[in-house]
Amino acid sequence: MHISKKSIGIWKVIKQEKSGYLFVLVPLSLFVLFGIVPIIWSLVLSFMQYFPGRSYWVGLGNFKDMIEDDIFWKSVKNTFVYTLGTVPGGLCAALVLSNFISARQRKVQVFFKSAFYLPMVASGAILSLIWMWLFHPFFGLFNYMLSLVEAGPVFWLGDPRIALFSLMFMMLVTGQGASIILLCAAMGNIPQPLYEAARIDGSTKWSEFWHITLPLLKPTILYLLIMGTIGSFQIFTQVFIMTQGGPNYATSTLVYLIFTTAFNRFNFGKASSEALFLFALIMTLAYIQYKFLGGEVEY
Amino acid sequence: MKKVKKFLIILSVMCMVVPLVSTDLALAKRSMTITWWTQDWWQGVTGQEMLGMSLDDPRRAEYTGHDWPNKIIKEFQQLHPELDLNIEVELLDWTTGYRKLDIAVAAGYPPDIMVSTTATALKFATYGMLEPFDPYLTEEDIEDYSLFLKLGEVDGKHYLLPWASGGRTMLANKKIFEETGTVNLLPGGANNPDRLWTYEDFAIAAQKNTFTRSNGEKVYGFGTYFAGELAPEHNELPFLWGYGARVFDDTGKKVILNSEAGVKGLQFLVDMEYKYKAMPPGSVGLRGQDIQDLWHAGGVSMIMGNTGSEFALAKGLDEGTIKPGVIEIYPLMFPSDLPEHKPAVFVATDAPMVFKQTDEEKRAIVVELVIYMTNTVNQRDHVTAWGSLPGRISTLEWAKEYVWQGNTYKEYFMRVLKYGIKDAVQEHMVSIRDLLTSMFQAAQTQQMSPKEALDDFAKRANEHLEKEAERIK
Repeated sequence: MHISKKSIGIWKVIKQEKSGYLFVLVPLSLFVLFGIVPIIWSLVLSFMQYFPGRSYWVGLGNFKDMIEDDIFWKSVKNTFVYTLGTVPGGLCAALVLSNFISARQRKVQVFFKSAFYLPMVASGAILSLIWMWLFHPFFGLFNYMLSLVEAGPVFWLGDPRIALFSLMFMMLVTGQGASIILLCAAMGNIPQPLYEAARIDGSTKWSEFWHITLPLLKPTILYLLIMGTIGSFQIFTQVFIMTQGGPNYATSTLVYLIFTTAFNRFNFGKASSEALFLFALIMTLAYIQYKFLGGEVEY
Repeated sequence: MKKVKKFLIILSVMCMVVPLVSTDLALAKRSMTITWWTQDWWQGVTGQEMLGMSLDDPRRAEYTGHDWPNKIIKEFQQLHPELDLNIEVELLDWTTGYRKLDIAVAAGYPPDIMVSTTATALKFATYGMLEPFDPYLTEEDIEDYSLFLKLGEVDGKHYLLPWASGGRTMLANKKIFEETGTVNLLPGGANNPDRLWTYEDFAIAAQKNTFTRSNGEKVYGFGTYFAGELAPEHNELPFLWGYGARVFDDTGKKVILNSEAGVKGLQFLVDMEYKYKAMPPGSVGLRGQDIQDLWHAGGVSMIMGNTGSEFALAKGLDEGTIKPGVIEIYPLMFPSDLPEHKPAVFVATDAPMVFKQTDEEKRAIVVELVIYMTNTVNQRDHVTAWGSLPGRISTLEWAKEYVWQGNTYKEYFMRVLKYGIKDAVQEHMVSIRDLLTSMFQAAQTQQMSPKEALDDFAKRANEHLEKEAERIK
């Protein structure tokens, strides 16, 4: 058996660094077992009609079903709308708030950062249950406040025209904690002499923010944009608890559809094809974002 | 050489000893493990142990949903001293339990026994994953189970053994009708023991019982929900069935709900909110618990109820979660297009089912356990524990004589049973439930007219059923 010089080199390195490789072996094995293997199995499942004990190959049949399903496209549209509303909007809100917070005294900063981060600590299920009560048509806080000005009631989760926007509003209010923490930390790392030099040249607060703060935050913003997109494309908990994709699929999102296809319809093959589509979509979007926004930082 | 000799001696001894030991082992008990998953039904053996205890009484912690299964297991183990029987019970909650079962089945590790709803049994029977009970039932059993056995029939075989049965109907809060002086509008009396009424009479009663109290509290004539985990066959479909509409044709494989009768029924439901204004506005956003909360607070005059509602009310009063004097329960029928069409309701049985077994001996024991837990005597336990109807005629006769004497609520539900229809428990109902739900939501939010919503639903559902037929074969 011919062993190449390169192979010998790799084995030599592994042998030399064996303790390091031994350390990563366990987490790597777990990652492969619980991360890679399910992805590969999902890929295989997407080409099959799965029943325990009597699965069979269907080729692209599941993908054809998926493409012909208008509920699937509605879910894709809802997911895009949700992402477009919460990611850029959330990032803008986080930027404004971070700009405000980082200019305050340390104690005040700690208070605001803790306050905004607190919802991130609570489980999504608990937050969803609380917001269901806030949105309740009869007993909810929002409709109570509206009644004080003789407006409403608004059917926040029962009106198909606004149900999705209600979920987006919830995300915008509760989901910016991590972004604020990271942006505040990044803002803290911007050298102060830059601002001083700008002020000497007669810059305003706005131009300082636009020409100094924002460009230097670009790596952090890019990270938050990509992670935010990945996260929002996988929205599930709020939909599952608050709306079950209704009314009339108005809040059905891709991951929720995958869930219902698998567990309501018991169609694991089609659910896997939908999951594969989601995977490809997120990868593509992340690549596009990185390609167009991942340039060097400018001064 | 010495080592080889030693090895050969040891090997010879083993060849003599091992068969003897194996014979001994064969004479020992056969070990068998049975997994029994069940929805969470009641705590304690009788379900009565916590009566009189307040909600924060620490003694409540002594009683769990395992108590009754453990009692059955102990008795069954004594019936089989020749086996080393280990029966593991897993309780599933009503929200996530179905998912857990789906995952287990999909992974190829279903439980041996699952005690759940008719719909669950039909779903897995359709996929060919359950054992039929027919080879194990005597003529006597078949006769005794005959009230509900047919509900679990798929292609001529029966996949569940009726256990805790019941139906759905409407409930009126007589206290509110007394408050508005409209008790006379409620159907009943010697001439109408089944408490039938027309859509018009129902709408009038609902309208007259929609008002605002002097303290500003709103009361609605009728409440139903369209959000959350919906089972439209329980609550909404009776309004369409009452006009003679049916979800499925006689084969159970084609959806025909978009008939003229279906449109009339759905239009009526929409009109209850927008035309008669007798339903809470934004009902689409309401869940089952919201309607229950309104009902318990005396905020809605009529809702859907089931066989166990009276028992649940008594329990709520006992626990202090429901205020006394707010509700006086009066069961009555869903409205229908009388005299042309009688009403139709959901009647079903929660029951054990057995997943496919590969071991013949184990299959026999598992089925025997299921027959045992659903026998005449053991069915009495759930009758007293949570007020359901039994799945056996023999237990029903016992209940009538010893438990329900003079109980007009139970007597009425015995009448309701004859209005149960197969349409409610067709094998494909579960798989189209989300389409049905979205249809009701689309109509109730006036996104689509009833006709548009029904046509859209029928088209989608039939496409889905065609694909399912291809998939399953």
